Amino acid sequence: MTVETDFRRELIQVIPNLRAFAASLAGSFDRADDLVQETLVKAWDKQHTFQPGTNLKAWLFTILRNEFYTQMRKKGREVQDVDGIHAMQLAGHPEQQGHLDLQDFRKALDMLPDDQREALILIGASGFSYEEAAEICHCAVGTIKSRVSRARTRIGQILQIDGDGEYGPDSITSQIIGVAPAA
Amino acid sequence: MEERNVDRDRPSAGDKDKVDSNQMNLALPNAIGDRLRAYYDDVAAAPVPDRFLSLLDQLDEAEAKRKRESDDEDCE
Repeated sequence: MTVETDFRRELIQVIPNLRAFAASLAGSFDRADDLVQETLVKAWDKQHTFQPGTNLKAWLFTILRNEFYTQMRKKGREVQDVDGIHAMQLAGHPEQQGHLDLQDFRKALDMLPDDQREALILIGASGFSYEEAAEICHCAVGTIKSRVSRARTRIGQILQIDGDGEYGPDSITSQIIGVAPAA
Repeated sequence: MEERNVDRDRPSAGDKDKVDSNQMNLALPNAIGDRLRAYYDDVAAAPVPDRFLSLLDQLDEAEAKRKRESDDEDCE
């Protein structure tokens, strides 16, 4: 009984992270929360296969990711819809400074191939190691590394294309301006 | 070093791209990383919706009920 209560408490602790990861995969809050719900149900059913002491967060992320790609295969590409992405942007905090910045970043992120985006999120935001991310994505550590690297380069290119003052005084713009006056 | 020289002497498109992406890799991790975390935390900082808490309650109850039933069967 105590074990189950712990499991429940730990599950709840991971939910914010699951939602953020799900939103980055699915592109909308509604779909993200549906994914999280499926994940919680599956995790609950399989909780006896979870080995206490191992990484519950990684275990849950794996379930969520599997669920997402299973749904993708069933439904096809419509899983990621433009309306949903707009809905997600609306759900942000407009009063927050840098909101526009964030919107642009979301758009850039959304232009990445799925595998690169998820690698970037897992490593850059969810706080997983390359080894953990590789396990979650069922691929080699080197594959994760190269996806993250390509994702970074791609995002840099996208923001360069759309880049204006908003990405301003930091190193990206000055590097770009400094390096590419040739054309 | 060699790339930089090549770029200055003979700024062909291919060489320029090469230098750009090298510079970019040095410049981007923080700039991208900060935005990435801001994007992620925007969602992750939101309170856990009630639907998930009540879902877990339901799962809990369903399991407790299953257990009670199987205990009853054992007694009979």
